[in-house]
Amino acid sequence: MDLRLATFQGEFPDRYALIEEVLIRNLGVTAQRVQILTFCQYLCGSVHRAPTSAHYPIARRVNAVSLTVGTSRRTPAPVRNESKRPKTESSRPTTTLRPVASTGGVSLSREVKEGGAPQRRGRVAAAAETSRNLIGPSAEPTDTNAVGIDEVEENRPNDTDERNTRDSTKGGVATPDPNAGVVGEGLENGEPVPYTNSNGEEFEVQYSQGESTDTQDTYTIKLGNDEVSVRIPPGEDPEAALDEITNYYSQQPENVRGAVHTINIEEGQNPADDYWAEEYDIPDFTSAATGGGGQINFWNGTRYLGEDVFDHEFGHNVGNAVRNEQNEESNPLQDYVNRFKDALSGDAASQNVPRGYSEAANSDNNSVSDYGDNAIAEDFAETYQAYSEAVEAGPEAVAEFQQMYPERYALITEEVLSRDLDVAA
Amino acid sequence: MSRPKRSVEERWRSRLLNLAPRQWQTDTWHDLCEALDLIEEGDTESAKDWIDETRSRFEPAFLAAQDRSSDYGLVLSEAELSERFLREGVRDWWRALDLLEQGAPAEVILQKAETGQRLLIGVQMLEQTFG
Repeated sequence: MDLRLATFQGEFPDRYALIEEVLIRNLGVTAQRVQILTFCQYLCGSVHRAPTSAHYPIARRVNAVSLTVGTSRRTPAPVRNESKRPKTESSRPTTTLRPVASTGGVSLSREVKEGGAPQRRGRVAAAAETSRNLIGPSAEPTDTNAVGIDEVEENRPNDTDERNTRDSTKGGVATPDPNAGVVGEGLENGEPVPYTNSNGEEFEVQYSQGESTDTQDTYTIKLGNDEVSVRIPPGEDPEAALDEITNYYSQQPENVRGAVHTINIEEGQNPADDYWAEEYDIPDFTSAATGGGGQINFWNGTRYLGEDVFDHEFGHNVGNAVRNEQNEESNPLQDYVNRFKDALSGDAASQNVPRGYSEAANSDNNSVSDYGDNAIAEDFAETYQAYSEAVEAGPEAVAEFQQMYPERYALITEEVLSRDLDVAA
Repeated sequence: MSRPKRSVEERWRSRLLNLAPRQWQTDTWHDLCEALDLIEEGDTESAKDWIDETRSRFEPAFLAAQDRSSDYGLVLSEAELSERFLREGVRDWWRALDLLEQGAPAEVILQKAETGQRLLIGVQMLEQTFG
């Protein structure tokens, strides 16, 4: 027996007996005695305990096990970069977030406007210079703020509003929006109104307007038995925002919709961006949105309000809600065991992933996306998003997803979507 | 019935697809059209000279564009989007030059080059917006 383990046994015989009984005999982890010692120390408080509340910093990982990595579907050997994973306790915000998926092109973030990102601007300028050297400058102004966007939109037949178009990228000709005016009508009369989402699913939705403050107006979207509160700043078009959110929200599986109770659209940028830039080692990191604790926050107004971002943030909330349920289902003894298993598997790094997810991702031995490699919670959110997209694309895409990520697929379908989630506001 | 996924990258791509010709056509594009005319007229020598000159201009950028490691996954900033558009645009143009040398039909060559043009103009648009 390891000398330190023997010392522990002498000092804490009852605890050791419990651990030996539960872990060594029942779980068959005899070969991992050194980690049992870690667990013993953990129980005794010499190793910092993982917080158990829903408010859990993403930037934390119990360094108890090394994940193996393998080949990626998308990029060569996407090593799950441990060095990128935060290893220390953090007092920073508790939500998990998603970076700007790409730039909006309508207006700059405050950081960029104020000259806080010379490196980023330099890269844009360098790329543009290369472009001009290769093909020459455009003969016509292309500045999207000056003329570009309006001019571009005018080139679309029947296209009067970007939000009221259908797949202009594929057919070239936009078709009328079946939901045109629906939100306005619903807000006006307060009665359920028919809505068709982008999957072609038809249902009734009820809108109502609630409290207003100087910074946000509150609305409620009621869809069947589910409802979500939406807070929109005065500068935004509420009907357009509610239309989009209705579309994305309605595509979430009914039994997990309760994982989100509030969607905030914030006018400014995420005040924690600098922190995340450092944590993720991504200079000039800009949050598109953050999610956790039953909420989704979109930053910089509706600029990044898109289906992919919505699904990703919804995924954080689903992961968190499932994990909380799993914790509630455990008795005190199981809770001890779970903590040990979480430390071994990597699930201890975040309360925003269902228990067992790290092991599933490890077994799949691949990467869902580069961003997902930043942290296990991001891996889960990216996986949830990819799964949602596959479902939307049809059975073939789901089969492909299952083939690519068999263990993650099994966990999502068996442990996540089998639940009826409900997070109180 | 499908609604476009409105990720911002896709919105940019959509905008580029909808640019008017006067917005995305540049000198190099007009030169390509001229080269096609030359070939049609039988002056392959001049066309070849232009292809060689254009290739040499594109070559450094093309070699740099061979790193595809960041072609997939999320774009995190306008800088990454610019660089992605640049890589894709250069590769499309390079392929168009290949097709031109191989004697492919003009519409195939033009289609490929147009895609590259739109992307490279997109890089310039990004600079005007964010630079």
